[in-house]
Amino acid sequence: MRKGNIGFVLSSVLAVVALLLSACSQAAPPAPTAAPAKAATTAPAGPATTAAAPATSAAAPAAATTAAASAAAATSAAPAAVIPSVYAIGTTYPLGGVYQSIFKVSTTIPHQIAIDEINAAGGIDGVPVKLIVEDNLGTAAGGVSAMQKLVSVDKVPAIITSMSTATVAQAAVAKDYNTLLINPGAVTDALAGASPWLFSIVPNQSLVKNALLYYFAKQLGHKTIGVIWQNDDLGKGTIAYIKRVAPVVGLQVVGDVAIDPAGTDFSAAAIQAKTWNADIIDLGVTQPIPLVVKAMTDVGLKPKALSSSPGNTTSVGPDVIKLGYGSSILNWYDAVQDYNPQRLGAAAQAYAAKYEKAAGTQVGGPAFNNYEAIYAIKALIEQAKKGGGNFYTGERLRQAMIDLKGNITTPVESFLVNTSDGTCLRPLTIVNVVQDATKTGGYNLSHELQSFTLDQVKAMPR
Amino acid sequence: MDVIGQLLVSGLILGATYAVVTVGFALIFNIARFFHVMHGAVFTAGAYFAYEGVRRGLPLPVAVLVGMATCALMGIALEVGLHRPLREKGAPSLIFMMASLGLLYVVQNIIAVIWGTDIIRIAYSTGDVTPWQIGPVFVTPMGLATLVAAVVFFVVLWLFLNRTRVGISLKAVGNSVPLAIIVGTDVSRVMVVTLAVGSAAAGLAGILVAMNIGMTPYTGFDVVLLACIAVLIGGVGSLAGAVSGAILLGVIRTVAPIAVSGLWSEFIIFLALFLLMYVRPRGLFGKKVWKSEV
Repeated sequence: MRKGNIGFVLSSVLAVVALLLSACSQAAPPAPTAAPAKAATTAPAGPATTAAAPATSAAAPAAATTAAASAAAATSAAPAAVIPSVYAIGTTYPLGGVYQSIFKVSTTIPHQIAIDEINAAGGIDGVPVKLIVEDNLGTAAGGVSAMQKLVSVDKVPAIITSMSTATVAQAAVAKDYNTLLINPGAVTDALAGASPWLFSIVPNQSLVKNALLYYFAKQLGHKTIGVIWQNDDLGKGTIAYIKRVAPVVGLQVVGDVAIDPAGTDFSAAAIQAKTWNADIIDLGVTQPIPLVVKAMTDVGLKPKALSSSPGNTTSVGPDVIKLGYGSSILNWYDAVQDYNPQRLGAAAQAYAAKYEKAAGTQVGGPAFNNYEAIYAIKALIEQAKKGGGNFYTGERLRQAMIDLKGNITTPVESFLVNTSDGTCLRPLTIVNVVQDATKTGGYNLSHELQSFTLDQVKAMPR
Repeated sequence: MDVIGQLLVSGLILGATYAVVTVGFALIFNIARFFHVMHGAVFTAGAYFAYEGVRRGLPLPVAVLVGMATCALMGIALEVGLHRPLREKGAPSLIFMMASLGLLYVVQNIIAVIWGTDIIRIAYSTGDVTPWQIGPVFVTPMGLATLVAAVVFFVVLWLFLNRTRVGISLKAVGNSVPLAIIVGTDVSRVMVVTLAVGSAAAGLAGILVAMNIGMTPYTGFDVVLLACIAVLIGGVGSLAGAVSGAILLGVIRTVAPIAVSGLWSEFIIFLALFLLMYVRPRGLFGKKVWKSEV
């Protein structure tokens, strides 16, 4: 009983002392370096950082932060920037299986060209950029797992995503990881507003399908549409969207069939689609497109128009041609962002030439987007750096996007990211596939038919 | 009616591919009495060997024969290097199956290391594929070639099993090992021949799939699972039953999505298997294997 009383008194004294100390620290005037100092504790631990304050350098982040804090305290201007020794950027996409060839062409090569260009020009203010690739397996779980590794082990503050299913899953946890996500390829509508940490630089599919359905109905006079869709986020988004919007532009949905995205034999779906007698067959499908087109051709299904997810003519078209089904896709239409190098200018032409040499195929939307993703992060880094302190964090990069009001300019193009829901608006172009002996593979995958300006795109019903 | 005709033709072509791999699987199962899961890796390896042959400039028919022959050698090596030592040590069938499963994963990954995980296709035409229209039904040259190859293989196999001394011994061992030993059959030799023939069949099926839709190092596992189901549907111990079961599977897989979503085709297959096993545990053409074994 007596011992208990002594313990109680000691505890009370300690509690009072703790409260007093706490009150003293709150009463102290806020140090101007508080935010950078706090951010520095969550900054990439791997690369050494250097404070940009005059004649101050440090090997460890903590020392650099101290230096930055001292410099900032001395003046009322923005605190000195804590500059990492390398800007490590993460990216996740499928590295194996049926996805391998698609992502090599649409992602690996464009990323590498952009990284090489930036580093050859001296990096970002002298600091090199490094890309760390992780396999997302093309799945939600794989996407989150790859993200965990990039954030916890490689300490990257920004990740370039790919594939709708993986990106949706990553968006759900991006806030927990304080990681900025840049999406150059996933187009499902589920990504609109999915996370304040996710910014798409590719138009979502409702935007591009709008243009395509409008073109089919108003320009080509088609009346009916059927949909073959894969059972995942992208496919579900496609069928839901088409069922909602097709009637608005005067198209009747006459049938739809779901397929397993990991399947190989799609003859049943093709035979079923043939019974619809639809003017248009839309493929809410990504990687199995070559085999779906094969199955359609094998059972004699050749619709007046074939459409698919944005950019697939260029990313998957060459695989269809290699399979021996090139003539089956001559009425394949795509609504894509404007990536015509001739119209975009010299930088785009130079990139297109480099890309075609490395990839052995023509440049398309996905190849442009992934190239631009690296430059978009570069723009955000440059913007964040203006605020000084430990700027290379997910939070500061996200704030940089908001500060820029979503206006991103890359060497090839400028576009607008809607910072309220993370979607992207770009001018669009309707293209299709035509035989052209002068082009790689004997086909022109992006034969332009009609262009829509940004204002026209904004005015379309959604 | 047009749709039914097209469904049946497409289902028959798919079933013919399944049938070739299933016959090889059933041959080995009838003699060795365990699920030879490694058959899936042999199936895959056959495709990759033929693919490599074509890549190195061999004419397609020669590459096909090289692929099949290499698979036959794989089968012989499996029997001599793995099955026989296990048999001599009195290992139960579960150990055989687990060893087979382990080896399947090893071979799949070796293939992935050598050729990568990207999908490969054996080119059989330099031009564009144009299907032939026969009445309301469309069939591709490759589809027809698959049917012809399967029929030729079955005829050759039938002649081998019924017109040659080795083939007759093979059937005898399949019916009863003790009786075969009593009449002086060299069971070890029969085992070797069985693995060789069964593996060559797997190789041929793999090559047909690689020519038609393509192949990855991991395709074989799904195929061997289908072969297991086909054997059970057709009836253990019956090669004709295995062929029928495989063709039935192909047709079910093609026709089912017309009635229900294509996503349910696996469900339909396993439901059919369950119902059949419930009503007729021996399968469609199965002999009373379990009783004779007892």
